[in-house]
Amino acid sequence: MTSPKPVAGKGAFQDSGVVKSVASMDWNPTGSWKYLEPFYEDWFAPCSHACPAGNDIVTWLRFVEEGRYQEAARSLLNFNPFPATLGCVCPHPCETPCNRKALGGAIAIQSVERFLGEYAIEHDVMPELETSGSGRVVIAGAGPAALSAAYFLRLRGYDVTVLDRPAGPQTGLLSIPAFRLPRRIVEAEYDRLRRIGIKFEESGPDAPRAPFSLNGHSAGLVANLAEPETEAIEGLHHPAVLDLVRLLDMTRHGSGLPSGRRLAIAGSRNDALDLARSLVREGHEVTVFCRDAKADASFSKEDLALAAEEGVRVEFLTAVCRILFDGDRLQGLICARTRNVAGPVYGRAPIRIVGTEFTFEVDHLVTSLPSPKNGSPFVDASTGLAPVFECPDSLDSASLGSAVSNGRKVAAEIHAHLSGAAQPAMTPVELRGVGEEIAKFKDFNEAYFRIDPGPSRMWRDRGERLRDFDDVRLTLSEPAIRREGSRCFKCGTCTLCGNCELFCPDNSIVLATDGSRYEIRQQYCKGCMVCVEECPRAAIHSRRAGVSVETR
Amino acid sequence: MTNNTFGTTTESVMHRDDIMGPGHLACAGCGIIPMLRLLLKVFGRRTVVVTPACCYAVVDGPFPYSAIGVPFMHCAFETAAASAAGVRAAFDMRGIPDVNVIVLAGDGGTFDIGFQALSGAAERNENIVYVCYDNEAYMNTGIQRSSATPLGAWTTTTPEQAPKAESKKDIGTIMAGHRIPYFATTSMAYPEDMLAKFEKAKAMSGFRMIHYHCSCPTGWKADSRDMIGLARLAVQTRAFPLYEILDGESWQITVDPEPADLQEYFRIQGRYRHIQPNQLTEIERHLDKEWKTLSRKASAPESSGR
Ligand code: SF4
Ligand code: SF4
Ligand code: SF4
Repeated sequence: MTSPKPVAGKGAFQDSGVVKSVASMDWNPTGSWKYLEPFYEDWFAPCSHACPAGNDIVTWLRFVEEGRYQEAARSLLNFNPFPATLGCVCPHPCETPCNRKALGGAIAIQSVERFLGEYAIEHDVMPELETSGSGRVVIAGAGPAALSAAYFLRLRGYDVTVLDRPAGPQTGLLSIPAFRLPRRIVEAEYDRLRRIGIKFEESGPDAPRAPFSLNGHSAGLVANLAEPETEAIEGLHHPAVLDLVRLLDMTRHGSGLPSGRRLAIAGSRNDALDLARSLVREGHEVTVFCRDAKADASFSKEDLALAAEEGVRVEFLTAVCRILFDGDRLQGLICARTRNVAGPVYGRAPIRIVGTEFTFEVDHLVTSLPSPKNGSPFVDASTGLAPVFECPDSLDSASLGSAVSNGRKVAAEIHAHLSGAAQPAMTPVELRGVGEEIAKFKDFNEAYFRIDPGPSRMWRDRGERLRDFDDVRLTLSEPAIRREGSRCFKCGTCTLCGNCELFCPDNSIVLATDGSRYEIRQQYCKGCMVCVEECPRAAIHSRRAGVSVETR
Repeated sequence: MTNNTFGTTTESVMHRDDIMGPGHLACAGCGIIPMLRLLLKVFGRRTVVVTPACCYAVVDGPFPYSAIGVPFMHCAFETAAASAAGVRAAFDMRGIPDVNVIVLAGDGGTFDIGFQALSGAAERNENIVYVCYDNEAYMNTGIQRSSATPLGAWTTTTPEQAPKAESKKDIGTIMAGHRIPYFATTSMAYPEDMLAKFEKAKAMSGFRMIHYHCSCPTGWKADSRDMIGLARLAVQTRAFPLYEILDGESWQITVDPEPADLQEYFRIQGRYRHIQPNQLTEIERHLDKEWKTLSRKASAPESSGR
């Protein structure tokens, strides 16, 4: 290194005329000393990583912390058509790996999502509409994934038509009972789809089974609803055996309910619990038979606990084998215990254990019956040259988050196809440019976090709950929501907290001119790793030096 | 609303222009620099820094280069306070009253070699700010013990077989005996507290002294990345309590930290590697006693946290 000639008066204090010559040391590239170098990279927050809808939870929690609900709601809506709905029905796998658990309990992420979703409804917050895409897309099916695809295509600027059974988007979310998902919420979120310009068309009385035409469209999308699995029960055709989906629909309207008091439901999806909980509210005595073990059933743990509290009996590892009847009257069920056999042949199939059969007396059995009504639409490919895309869809409320993701993904594919742009389907978190690593609590500096207990989930009193179909949940107040924003660690996400700049012993960390991020002057950084150590939340990391050491 | 970890004072001071520059010669992880950067941001460009022989005398750069960004005077080891008093007198005589004259000295130049000059200037209540960055030994000459080296610590002159048998000199009590207007201990791990003390000192006149606990990866035989963590643990274990003394009589503990294990503080420093359980207990007992003495002198803490 060569030191430049000192410049007279370059240093400070020239104004007093006391000191004539001080030259700075900034010609000295002390960065060449290091063997480790720090670098900034936001890492995945475990919550977002676990969120099936791919929500950028940290981003909205940061707005929430500052009470900027408008921006929080908008950032949520830009990537999620159903925040309030998910805020009610999602089994919130995001909260399971939440790093806050270590110091006072997971962030009530789902409650925040619901709060923001309701805020958007109440304050009429709308997502940002772009105009980069042009063309007409027709979507057959109106399940959650179909609607999600419609939403994201519409946000890109496409003209989108959804073909549905008569009377609007009936399928899916509306079948979730109101005590889990208040009607006004789901209606408002459907309404927003119309208000951003998505068109709904009835596709005929037999639809969506009838083929639809691609004429005049640039692309078509078929969103196939997963058929509910039918259980192998002998005698399913008996009139005292009722269809789960149909009955769920009836409980919603409060008409055509079964006359018998004792009901058995065979099923292992959340809709079995939904129905059971609806029926206990109507005064029935309900037992759910689930072939799987408790850990394998796709019931949300929370709903299971609430159902039990409300008086629903759930028998795990039990299958209904046969129906005993006497003419029109159902006498009882022959059930058997099951066990899971793992292996390439069976998958995770529960098999019946011989000799464990018992009789169970009921008035009705409810299970998913094969039904053409539940079937999927198909395209008449001969009617046009437009490409047709496919996307799985499901009415299972537990997988609404995945449906949102699937819709977003296929929308990105369609957009890429129609616009010719390479358009990887990215989650909002990925779009922010985060690294692949997940920020774990062990990567944090614990000195910056205190134990701070979170709110407990609150439900209406059991007795009160059973008297009506109103929301079972007590929502958090605005101050409590805001506190969740500040309790959140912002895992792996630089919040410009200033620690790295403050502590750097080499004056190497400077705020970028636009103030949006910090930058490292590698030519001075000696690689002490103080910044990495003192970052509270793993947003700055170390690697072997030499990649980018510059000497000016 | 601030994103800053520590608070609004830290944030607002950080936003001020940097006076000190990069390119200085400190070891990676040196504790002097982040403190000095903030000190200068608080005191501003109209400042002269006087430094005796010490790490920073080397770190600043070879003449005529200087990283500090303000006039910098390098004086003899034993004369820092006297030299600063002279600089102050010269400014006063030339009718320039608004320049801050700051001493930046290590513990050797303060507790030991510069002690008589310090005592003299304090006794005369010279209008200067004396900042001692205390890394608890003569680091740049090869880690020899000073009277600021804590009980039980290794240095090259207090080897593991015979670690330092005396406790750290209680400079706060000595300075209180001089009845100076202001004395305060500071730590980089508690910047909000430190900056409040800098601002307080700046607003006063007369002899003001800042005693800064300065992490030293080289002399403490520790990983440079732990430098702030060590500063924090020193306060939490009460090995280096944060307090201030006004006019030599009003004592105040300014940070009542969450307690931490002394063993944790020792574990990550090579200079304490030889410590046996009985020695640890002895040191703990000593620190407890010191804390009790300090608490007795001080009223109940007013502020807590960093
Ligand atoms: S603390 Fe915040 S960012 Fe981290 S996992 Fe929990 S909610 Fe996500
Ligand atoms: S604190 Fe400064 S010197 Fe140390 S590694 Fe980070 S940028 Fe480099
Ligand atoms: S220390 Fe603070 S400012 Fe620096 S990277 Fe971490 S979060 Fe960002």
